[in-house]
Amino acid sequence: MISNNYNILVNNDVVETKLQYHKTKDGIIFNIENDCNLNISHQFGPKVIINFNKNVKCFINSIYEVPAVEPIIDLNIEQNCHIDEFISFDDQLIDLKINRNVNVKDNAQYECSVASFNDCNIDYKIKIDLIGENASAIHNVACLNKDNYKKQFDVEIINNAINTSGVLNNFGVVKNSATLIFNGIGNIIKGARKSQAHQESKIITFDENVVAQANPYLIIDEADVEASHAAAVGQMDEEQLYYLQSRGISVDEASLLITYGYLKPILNKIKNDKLKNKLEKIIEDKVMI
Amino acid sequence: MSTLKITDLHVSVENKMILKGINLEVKTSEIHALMGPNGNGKSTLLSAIMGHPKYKIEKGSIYLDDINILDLSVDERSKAGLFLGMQYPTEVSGVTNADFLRAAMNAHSDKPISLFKFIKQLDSEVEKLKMKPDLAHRYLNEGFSGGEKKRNEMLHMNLLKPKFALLDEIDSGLDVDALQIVSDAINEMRSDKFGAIIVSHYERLFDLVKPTHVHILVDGKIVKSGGYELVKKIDNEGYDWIREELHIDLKEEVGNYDK
Ligand SMILES: Nc1ncnc2c1ncn2[C@@H]1O[C@H](COP(=O)(O)OP(=O)(O)OP(=O)(O)O)[C@@H](O)[C@H]1O
Ligand SMILES: [Mg+2]
Repeated sequence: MISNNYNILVNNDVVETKLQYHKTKDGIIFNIENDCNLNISHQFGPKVIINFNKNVKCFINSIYEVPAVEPIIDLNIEQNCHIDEFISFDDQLIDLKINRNVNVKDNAQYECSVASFNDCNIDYKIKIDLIGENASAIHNVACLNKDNYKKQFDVEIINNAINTSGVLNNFGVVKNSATLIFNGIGNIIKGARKSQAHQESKIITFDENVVAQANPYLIIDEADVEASHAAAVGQMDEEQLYYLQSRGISVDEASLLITYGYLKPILNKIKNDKLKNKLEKIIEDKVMI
Repeated sequence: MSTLKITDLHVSVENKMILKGINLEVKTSEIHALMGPNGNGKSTLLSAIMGHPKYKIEKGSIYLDDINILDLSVDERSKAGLFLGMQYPTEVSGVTNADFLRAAMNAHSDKPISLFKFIKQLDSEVEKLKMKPDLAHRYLNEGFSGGEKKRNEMLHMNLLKPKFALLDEIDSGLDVDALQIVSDAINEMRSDKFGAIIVSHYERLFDLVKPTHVHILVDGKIVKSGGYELVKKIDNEGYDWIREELHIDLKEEVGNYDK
């Protein structure tokens, strides 16, 4: 159990935290030297750079809160670190553009789960560079989008070194006339032998007016690797809706049950239990009302 | 006492008329057996009563006492007291049988059922139906065997306690022991507050669950009604005699559907 907890709140020039930091022209830099839990509320303003020293274990709880507009964050993860991150969004958000860069060094692990259930526009971009041998990353997105909102998730994992492993999963449900786009980008650089790049993106649509895309891009420049991708956009099964309704469940509740059932299997893709529990709770809260 | 009354019901699917004037009145305490050759509209009738969106009512009416069933959505029909045990129960991944049943039971009552009370009822029904206990906690019908799905439909019926059950080939895929268990479950429901329309091709089921009425549905119409003797006759002779007796060209009808 990690007992050190720190909060970081960045809103324009205001930085609230008990941690040491430096303001530089590149952004606000934090150096994390010991195991800890970090709560990051990133609202606005300058780029945040968090450097994790070797061997650090950290659980990050990142919340994007109003008036978040275009927050940029870099995580530099040194050798043997073990970093888990849970990303969620405040209900008040309307429009959000996120840019994240994560560098993962030798034997370090990064696992991230994104829970996007609120009504807002999101343009989420993350680039994870596996730059040291045996570095690994898992990135999961669970998303529900409805009304007229537009959400796009571009998740890119680059295998730059030998025996690195990148896994990304995107599970989404779209309703009404909302837009949901998953772009999964896997890139294995020449020389990154024995590496793995796996991705699965799936979306179910509840209405004809939605825009839904699950696009896999795999760029592989090395022969000695393992890679796979599965991408599917499918319609909600009317027979399921009918079956649930025939037992007295209203259309609305039935469609929530189906949504819940569709998103839940992403939990099996998550390694870290705390991440799993947090996502499960959010799916239950947001979907099952 | 309640009455389910179907009058001059015409139903089409994808612009093809399947039911061509069904008249049927079922009261609680009655069990109506519905038999007939493959592809003649038995499932269509049950689905139309339940309100499957694919089946279009072209003419006629369905009343449950003084409620016009055709005005109700599918879930409202369930809450009004109708239950359809399906010929092919749908699989719903990610939704556990138990969670779903609890939601369904809550939808049927004014105040939510306590978890404790629910589990007690569920366990006792699961045991009565001799179902594997894990089936209650698995995803709805997903990977259930044919017989397990049918027993699960009975589990739903027993917990939801409908006024009228529409059971579509509930006996297909059941082994001898399971058939006995399912029949017992139906018989246990029998009372002056419960009626049923049961579709089956086999005498074995109606031997165990004795119908009060028997109907034969051919080409979208009930062409003959009677008592248990009709079940016996069909079991012995098939449906050829109907063609002769009523001058219906059954062969051609069946032949068309076989293609
Ligand atoms: N959803 C559908 N789409 C197209 N045709 C349908 C549909 N449902 C039923 N039909 C057609 O309607 C006719 C009656 O079908 P139905 O399922 O009611 O027969 P049944 O009497 O229950 O037969 P069985 O004894 O084989 O179960 C058949 O010709 C069938 O192909
Ligand atoms: Mg049928």
